[in-house]
Amino acid sequence: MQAPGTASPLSAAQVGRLRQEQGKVVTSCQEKIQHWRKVENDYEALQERLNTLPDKLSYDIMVPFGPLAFMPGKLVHTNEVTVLLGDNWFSRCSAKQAMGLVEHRKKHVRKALEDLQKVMKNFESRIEFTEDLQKMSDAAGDIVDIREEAENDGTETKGKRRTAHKPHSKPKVSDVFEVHFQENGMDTKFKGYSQSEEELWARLEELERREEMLGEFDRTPDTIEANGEDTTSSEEEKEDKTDLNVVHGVEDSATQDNVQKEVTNSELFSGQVNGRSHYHSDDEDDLGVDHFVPTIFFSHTVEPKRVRINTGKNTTLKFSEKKEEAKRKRKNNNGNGHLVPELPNIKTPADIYRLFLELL
Amino acid sequence: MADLIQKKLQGELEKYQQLQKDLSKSMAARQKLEAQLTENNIVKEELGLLDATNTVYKLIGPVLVKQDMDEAKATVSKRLDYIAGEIRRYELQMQESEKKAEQQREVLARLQQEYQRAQGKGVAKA
Repeated sequence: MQAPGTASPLSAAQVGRLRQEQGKVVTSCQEKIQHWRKVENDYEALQERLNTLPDKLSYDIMVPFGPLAFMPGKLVHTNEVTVLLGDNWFSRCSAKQAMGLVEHRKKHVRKALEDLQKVMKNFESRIEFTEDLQKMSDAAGDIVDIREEAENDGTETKGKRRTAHKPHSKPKVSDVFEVHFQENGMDTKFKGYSQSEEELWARLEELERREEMLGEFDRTPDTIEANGEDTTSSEEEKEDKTDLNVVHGVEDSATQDNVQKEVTNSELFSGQVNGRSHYHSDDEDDLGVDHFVPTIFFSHTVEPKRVRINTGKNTTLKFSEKKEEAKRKRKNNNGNGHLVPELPNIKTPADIYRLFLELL
Repeated sequence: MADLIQKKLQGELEKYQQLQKDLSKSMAARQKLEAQLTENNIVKEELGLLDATNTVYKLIGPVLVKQDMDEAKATVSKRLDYIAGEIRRYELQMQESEKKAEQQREVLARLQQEYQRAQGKGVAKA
């Protein structure tokens, strides 16, 4: 009998057949039980007769003569009975002794009955199980197979995001920024960008530098200083953002992304330290450069903290959400070419946190 | 070529069927012996319940022959042993038959494969 838990699922036909066979066993068990019950009843009747027989010395009876005739006669020696012991063995004994023998036989019968009932119960429970299985298979159309896919998307997604950023981060632009950072952001070389863009880039560089410096602070303790600095620079960043938005229309998506990231980075600059560090690392990943900040800290727990500890600017929350949506869309546009569904972010538990808190 | 194999296949199949019959015969005999075993056990017990005052008869054909109590007990015991021995013999027989049947099954499978291959070739040729 196949166990339903095995890899190969039972087909409906097999289950049906199993049910049939089990049903047959149960019916045969029931028949045997009936037979043995009959035997027991007979023995009890016999015992009754044996009990009453020695009461009288002789009985007047109608003796059967063949199948159709009877003859009056007498039953004598009522205490003497010849008992069939089995296997062509007989024994002459008194009624009481015969009673003893009958009692002994009844024991055997009862034992057989018990065994049969046990077997029947067993099979009845099996049948129940098979029936349930059948019902399930009928309802579901197939054996229900509960599978859970081990979701390590959290770390994976993070990692993927990281890696995705790197290739997506417009190499040219990254090079540009590399150059910038290596030269402490003083370089104003822009490869093929308009003048206004150049200005904006310079601005961004400065901001980034500031971020990095503050990022170093971040790496050590969470500081209020950073926040303070954030607030001071926030306005400028916002300005940048608006300017950059205008610029975006001109640039291709790649650069746009980067710029957006820059912007978001700067925006987050005003947010929490941890969060900023997170996005900072994102940005770093985008650029694929070893900046001043040596290490990149990624943790799921960081995000919800960032989200919860509202610095009074709901923009942090919303912005992070939008940023990630934008990232995803960019990724999809670059990669798959199909849009992300309404809930693009739920790949990690942190995403759930974010979403829910946003809704709140 | 295919015909040859087919004939061989049929021969092996018959042998296998014979083995199966032997197996089922042994099985039936064993079951009968089992029933006799239980019966004789009951007789032994019941003889134990009786004492020497009762007479014991043995049915031989239409005749009830008087037997000695002890003699009866001894006979029943001997019969029990005999039955147990017979059961063991049949068990061994069944195992052997089972093994032979297995071998035969393998042979049949092989032949079937050959036959199918030959048939395939024949179809290709034709």
